Amino acid sequence: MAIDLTRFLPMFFEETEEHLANMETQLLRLDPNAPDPEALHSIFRAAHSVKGNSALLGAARFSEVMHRIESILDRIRKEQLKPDNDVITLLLEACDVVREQAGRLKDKGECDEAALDALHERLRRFTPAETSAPAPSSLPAPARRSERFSIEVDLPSGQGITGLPLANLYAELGALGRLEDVRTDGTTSLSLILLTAQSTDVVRDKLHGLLGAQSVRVTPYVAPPKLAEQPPPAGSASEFGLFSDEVSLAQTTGMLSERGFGRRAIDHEATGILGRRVTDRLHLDRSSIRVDVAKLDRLLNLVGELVIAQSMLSEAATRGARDARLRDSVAYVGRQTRELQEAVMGIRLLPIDYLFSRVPRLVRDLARRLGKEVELITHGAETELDKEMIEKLADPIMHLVRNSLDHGIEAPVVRAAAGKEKVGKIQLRATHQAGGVVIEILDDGAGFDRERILAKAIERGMPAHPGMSDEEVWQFVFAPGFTTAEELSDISGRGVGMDVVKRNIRALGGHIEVRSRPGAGVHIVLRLPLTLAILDGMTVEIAGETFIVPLSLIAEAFLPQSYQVKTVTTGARVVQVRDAYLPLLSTDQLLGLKGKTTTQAAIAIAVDVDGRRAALLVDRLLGQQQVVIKSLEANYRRIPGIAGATVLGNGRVALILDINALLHLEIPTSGGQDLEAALGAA
Amino acid sequence: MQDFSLTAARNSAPSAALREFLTFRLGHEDYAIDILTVQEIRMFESVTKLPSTPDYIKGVINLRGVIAPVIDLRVKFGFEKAEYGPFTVLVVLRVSERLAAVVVDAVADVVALTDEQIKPPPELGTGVNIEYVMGLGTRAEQMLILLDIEKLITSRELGIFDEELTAAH
Repeated sequence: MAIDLTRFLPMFFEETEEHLANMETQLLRLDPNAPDPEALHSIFRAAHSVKGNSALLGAARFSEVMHRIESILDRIRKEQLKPDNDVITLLLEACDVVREQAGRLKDKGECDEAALDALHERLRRFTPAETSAPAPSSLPAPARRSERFSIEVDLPSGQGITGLPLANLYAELGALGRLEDVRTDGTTSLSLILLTAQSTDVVRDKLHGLLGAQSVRVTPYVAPPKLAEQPPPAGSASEFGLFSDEVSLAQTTGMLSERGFGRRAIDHEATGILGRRVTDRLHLDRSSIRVDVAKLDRLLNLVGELVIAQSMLSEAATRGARDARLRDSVAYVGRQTRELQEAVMGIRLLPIDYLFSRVPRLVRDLARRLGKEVELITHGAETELDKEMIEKLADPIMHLVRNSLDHGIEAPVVRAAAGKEKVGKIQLRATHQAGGVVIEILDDGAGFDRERILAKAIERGMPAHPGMSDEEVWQFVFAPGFTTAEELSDISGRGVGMDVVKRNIRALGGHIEVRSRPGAGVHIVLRLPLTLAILDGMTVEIAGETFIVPLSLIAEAFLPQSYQVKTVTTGARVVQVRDAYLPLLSTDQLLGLKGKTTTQAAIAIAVDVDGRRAALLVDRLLGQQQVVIKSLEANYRRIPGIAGATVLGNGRVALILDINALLHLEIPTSGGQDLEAALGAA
Repeated sequence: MQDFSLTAARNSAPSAALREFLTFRLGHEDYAIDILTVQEIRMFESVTKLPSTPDYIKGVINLRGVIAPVIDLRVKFGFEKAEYGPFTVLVVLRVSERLAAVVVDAVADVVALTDEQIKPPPELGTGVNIEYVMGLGTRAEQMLILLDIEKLITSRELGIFDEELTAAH
């Protein structure tokens, strides 16, 4: 039984996290008066998996704690214990402690045993019947001769192989003995051959613990029957011989297995089918294939190169070849390449549920602490966007929800007095719109207090006056350090406020809109690109080089006429655009580029970064295109004014301008103050 | 674009005292760098210029989807002429897990040198670039200047990488 357990460690941590998240989600949904047995079972199974894994890896403290949790769940299941608020809170906190300690174990290689002991003690109070935890799930092996068992598992219908905790299964069975063979058709059954010294009962128990309701058969292994002895497949497929069957089977497994086609014939193709099935179902269940992001990036790079190679090929083909077939083939390759690129980009996309599912816990804890009653409604949790984006959105969204709960939703008494329902509503909505993602956070609370925001803004010396429109007033909440909270609570109003949210959303290439009606609540709209890896850009020429300007920041492009341009101080010019004066900046000078510039025929691009406007001079507009953003910093230091780089269709590198940073750069020759003055005046 | 002599040399039986170097020409001198830092050798191609960078940073190129800086050592070493001809090549280096390409006049060969063949660098006082010279090698009556390319590329003086990396060396 030479099995190296340490290689399961990363999987253990990831799975533990997944199971805990699953437990949390289910616990939050549990109705204290009528707990759903299915949900209870799911929580139980998750707890059991963590327990089993912990025991296997020798983390006895974890398995003890999980065992206690199981006992409590068992009592709830047997209706000996009512899952009231206290019980649920305890279980949720237990999840927190386990998660935290698993994190410590991962980072520092040790965990705070006192914390786990304390938790254990607290959990024990709810399980009075038991005196001590029985030994963790792996049983001592009696001295026995190893035998082979054949294990057949029926897969959950509709979910197939993705419905099983496979990694767990392999790990636990691996601990019992040696897994010699694993076969599946991906949809109906999984068969394993296990060489073990354990008895049939031990194996069966282990499987029941892991798979619960799933039907499992454990039988002594019998050598496979010869080909001729195979049960004849239903239908006439057998006449065509095994090989041709396999080819068609690979494409139509689902259909054939519905017809009751034998499993054995398709085993040969099982791996291939399995791989495809699992990726297909990525968005349906939580199970997935874990791939290092670096591998995805490499794939993305390779496909990017393929696109370049393809465009070279297509250029050569359209120029030289008169052969229509060649042109058709090249066009075909082109379409396939683009499709491939899209598909590869798609791998990085995950459902936003990964983020939304974290919100219920926050809302529950906060509402309890604030003595408010809140119902959380989420829509469009299946909306997909870039994984990195989801991670970076977590803080801003949590912050906005926290704000809604703390400042928006009123206390039940206040709500009742205002004639509203006692229970407040917070809605989270995600939708795909115009090639991007829109995330909305709505509450039915009190809405922004216009007078208070105005008063606060005036108090802080901001350019505020009573005649401003609502939209203008709401913009003040995005000012750094702005808060109307009278006293700082540890929930919100800690200074890290809406300005940080806005900055984070900006950094993701998105923007934020706020709507508010007094008494009816606040509606916040976040508009974001689908991915961080692609940018809609305008390609421009500056000093003989090609640069990319993010399209989302461009207001307009125009040919500045001499009468529009005024010199304010030496080196600082402004250009009149309708009724506004924008600072006119020579991009080549800002960047310190040495090259020929033709300022006479230059084109001005009016940009708007968070309300800060300016006009950038460029030599030529080359066009618009989507570009794949690449890091310059991977192999070179940061350059002020440059956000990154991309590879153009001809294989050359083009730099992406960091407009926000550019507006803050000082022109080396003229004074920076002049520029600041001009910007202030605009 | 891998130079064949390079692979051939790598396949030859390694000896404990032998170290292999890629030799190239910069101006009128022959230089050599540790072959293990070399990832590939490419034809010189046009680069994309970078703003606010020193003269010796020619710009960046696309190495199969990865963006890497191009350094002209001839400019860095203050040679009078830095021309781009048919033999001008890019030596792509992998140093501290990062990629950088250096422009050299011509790649000559891969040589194996024993420790006895490597002499310590002469005391030249505080010469500008002497600190990046590991030693001098001789081969067939010819002198090779052995560059500590890793030290040079990651040096703060060259300023290719951010501080935290240069500080680590």
